[in-house]
Amino acid sequence: MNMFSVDFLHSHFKNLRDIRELKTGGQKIVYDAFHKTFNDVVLKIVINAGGEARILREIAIVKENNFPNVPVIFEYGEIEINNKSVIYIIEQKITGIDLRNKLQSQHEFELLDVLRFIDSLLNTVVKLEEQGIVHRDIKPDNILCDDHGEFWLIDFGIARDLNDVSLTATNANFGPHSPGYAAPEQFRNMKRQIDSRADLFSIGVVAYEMLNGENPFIKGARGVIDVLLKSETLVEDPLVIAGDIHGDLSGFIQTLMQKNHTYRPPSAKIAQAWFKEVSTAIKKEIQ
Amino acid sequence: MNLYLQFGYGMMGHCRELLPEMPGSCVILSPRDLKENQIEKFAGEIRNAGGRTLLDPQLYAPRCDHRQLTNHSYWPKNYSTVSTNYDVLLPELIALNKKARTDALILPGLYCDRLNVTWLNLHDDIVKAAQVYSGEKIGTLCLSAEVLRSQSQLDEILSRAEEWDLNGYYVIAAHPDGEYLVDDPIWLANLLAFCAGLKLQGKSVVLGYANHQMLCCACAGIDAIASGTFMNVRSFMLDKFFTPDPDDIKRKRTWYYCPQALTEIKPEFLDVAFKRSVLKSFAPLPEYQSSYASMLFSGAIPTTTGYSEKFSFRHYLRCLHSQCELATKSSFIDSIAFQKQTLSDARKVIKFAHKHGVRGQKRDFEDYIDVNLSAIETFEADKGFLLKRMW
Repeated sequence: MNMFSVDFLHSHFKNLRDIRELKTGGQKIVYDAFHKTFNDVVLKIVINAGGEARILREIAIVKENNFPNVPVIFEYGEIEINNKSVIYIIEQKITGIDLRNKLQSQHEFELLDVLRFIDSLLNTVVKLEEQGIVHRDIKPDNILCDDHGEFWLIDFGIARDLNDVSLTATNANFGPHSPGYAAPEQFRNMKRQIDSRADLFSIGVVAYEMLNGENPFIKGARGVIDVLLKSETLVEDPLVIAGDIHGDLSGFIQTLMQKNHTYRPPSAKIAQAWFKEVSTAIKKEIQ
Repeated sequence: MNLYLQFGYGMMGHCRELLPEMPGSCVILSPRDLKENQIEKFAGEIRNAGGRTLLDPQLYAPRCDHRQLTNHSYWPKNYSTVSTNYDVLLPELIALNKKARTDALILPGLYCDRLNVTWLNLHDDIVKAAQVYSGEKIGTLCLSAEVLRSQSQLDEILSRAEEWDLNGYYVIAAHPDGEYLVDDPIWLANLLAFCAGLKLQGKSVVLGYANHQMLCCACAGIDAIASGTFMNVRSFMLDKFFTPDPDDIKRKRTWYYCPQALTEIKPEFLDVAFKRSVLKSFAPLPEYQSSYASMLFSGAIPTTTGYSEKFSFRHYLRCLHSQCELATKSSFIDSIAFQKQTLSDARKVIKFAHKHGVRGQKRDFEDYIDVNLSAIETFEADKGFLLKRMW
């Protein structure tokens, strides 16, 4: 029996039926399934030995907190495979596609969709901030768009609990990050400077990409180093957004994307209050 | 934004005269110009006149050999960049501040020629050592023109500053090429952004060694600029903290500051205005509340009126005080608009002056209007959205 065959999994997870492989990533194999109690779920099997500490931290962060727009973890544990223990997670299934795929097919988004995206993500990051947690990996691949147009944040694999011990070596030159979306203080591993403002930077970049169709730091870059350099130095083209008559949304996104964290909104909560005013004003104008 | 008086040579008399007109003003005392007993005595006089005091330890270059400075008890006797023991130095400095009953403790800050880890770590040490002081603490950030031209170096300082347990900063910004007026809009835009960055961290900011060109810092929301009499206290000159070179003593001239033109004019050129019957156009507008230059506009030929250096300095500082107050606005938008209007008005007055043969020579602000405008516009475009919100 193949260790990760559907039959094997059915034999181990008695509460699950209709298990179907969705995708295999660097750390996990993800399956679609139906749970007797929780209905539609996804099953994740962690296959990357050595990353257990981060996975357990991810589970702890998501399981212990009921964050809005973050899929709920129903169960987790370990199963024995070939005398080796691997971690599994059963979590809420979000029906839809990830933002990366949507960006590839749709290219640019309607203003109202972008407002909804920022609203959802800020809502989540405010709650993370209250718990002292930084996601550190907000990017289109980690955002799901459900069938109702709602946005969900997934993959807390490199999230950092600021109240907990860091899993990254202090003297490491680079902190865990996704080039093109991570804030400069994050990829430069300036640990003492990393807080929710790093997530605000990433939200700004994704919003910019949704409106402009391109990530300004990845566009035309000659490799990862170039992306990082651009993230630190590039002055993005100003966004011209139809419906944003006074440039308030453009200014808000520009402020989220400030290279130096001290020039971003000082907290997610303050950013959220600011955004609500921007959003309300734009919606009024549109109507 | 307030005007603080930057102590320098001959400042005692000016402070005595000006403080009653500037209630609540603050004088930044200078150990280079005052002995320890004078500091204590003069600080008492200022307090009695309703003023406040700060003491600038002037440790920008601890290896400097200015005798007046090195005679102070807090001055390090055997300075070494890495081994200077601030745990020893600071108690002496605190004791002097306590004697003078200053309103806050300005911490030592080293001149930063080019930012490096050593400079940042030394300032970490200074801040840590200062934790023994329970009162208000102000960090000194003394930066070279090169640092101020470098966004990345300023960003590094701002990032580190977030960790410093201080109430405010005393920013000293060396001008490019040591010029009195700055002709580099990037330098000025960066200074605005840097000061705004410190303000966004909730800290008070005083820009030391400033002149009227720095009135634009009001749109960064800073608390005060500090200015004084001679050029060496209106723009930072590191070499003034070393023993002066006898060949370096320059002939001093008397200037009249025309506040609405942001231009200083020699009385000889006011004679030209007199001759062309336009002198009154350069008299200070009533809102600047200075009567120290009234004699120049009394009907006599300006150079014959006895308008001396003393009146020149007092007039300059009185006007600057009023200009600081006028530049203080309740919103970022109003502040920016006021600065632009001030520059636009100054351009008109300067144009009129030139048309009538009245020129400020090296202190003519004509070329600097565009510098300030460009810097303000750059600052507004880059940081305006946040400052509109966080003002």
